[in-house]
Amino acid sequence: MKAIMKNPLFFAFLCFCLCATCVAPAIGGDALNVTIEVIRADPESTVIDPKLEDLAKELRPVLNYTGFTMVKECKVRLIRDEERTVMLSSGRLLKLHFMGFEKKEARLIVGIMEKDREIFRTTLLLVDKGNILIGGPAYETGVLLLRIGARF
Amino acid sequence: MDLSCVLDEIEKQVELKTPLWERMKKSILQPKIWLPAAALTAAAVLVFFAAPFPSGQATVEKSRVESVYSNGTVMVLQTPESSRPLIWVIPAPQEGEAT
Repeated sequence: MKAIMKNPLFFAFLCFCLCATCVAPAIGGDALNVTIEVIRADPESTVIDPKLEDLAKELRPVLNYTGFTMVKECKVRLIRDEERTVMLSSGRLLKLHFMGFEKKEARLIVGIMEKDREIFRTTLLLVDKGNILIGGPAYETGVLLLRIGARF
Repeated sequence: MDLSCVLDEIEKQVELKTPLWERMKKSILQPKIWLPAAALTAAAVLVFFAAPFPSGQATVEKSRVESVYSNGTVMVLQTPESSRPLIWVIPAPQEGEAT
């Protein structure tokens, strides 16, 4: 016992266990960090938000929109089975429901409510640092585009 | 009778009876113990938590769409460059709304 206690490896192991106990929940855990970018895609404008240049470059050839403006960006942290609502525009809400992790993916239910009526719902399997795009609903002179990203 | 042997034995016995925590504290305070221990811990923490694990094959995993519902029309597409999912929704006009 005395010999074990004088062994640096023994102390290294003790310290590592202590660090793992403190650091591991902070790094991973059961939480999902969701970033929601609310974007207005406009067919008449040519203004592109510097933050959206990569997106504009990719979408311009496929969609008939030339202007991309960031309307709002919000980050939410969800734990398993938690539901959260984000205001998109007047009378339009985004509902998020995190169902939990499956292998390397996070299952997230995303719904859009318009005047208390669900117009759209999808179940997404998001990878770490991955994102998906949802677009279409009319917004001012263009359409609403949502970029939903996940980190865990 | 070898007195030094007897004294050694007594010393050993006394040391064994000191509490475990006291013995640990005594050991921790020795730099030759905690210095390598600290270095090893730092290396282990770095390897397990901070450094990204290089994967043999660079497989880029993509987010997926499992299901979609809309009261109007919905299309699930992919962006041309990054192949990320793009869901295009055309909601149904509300009652009394002009089409």
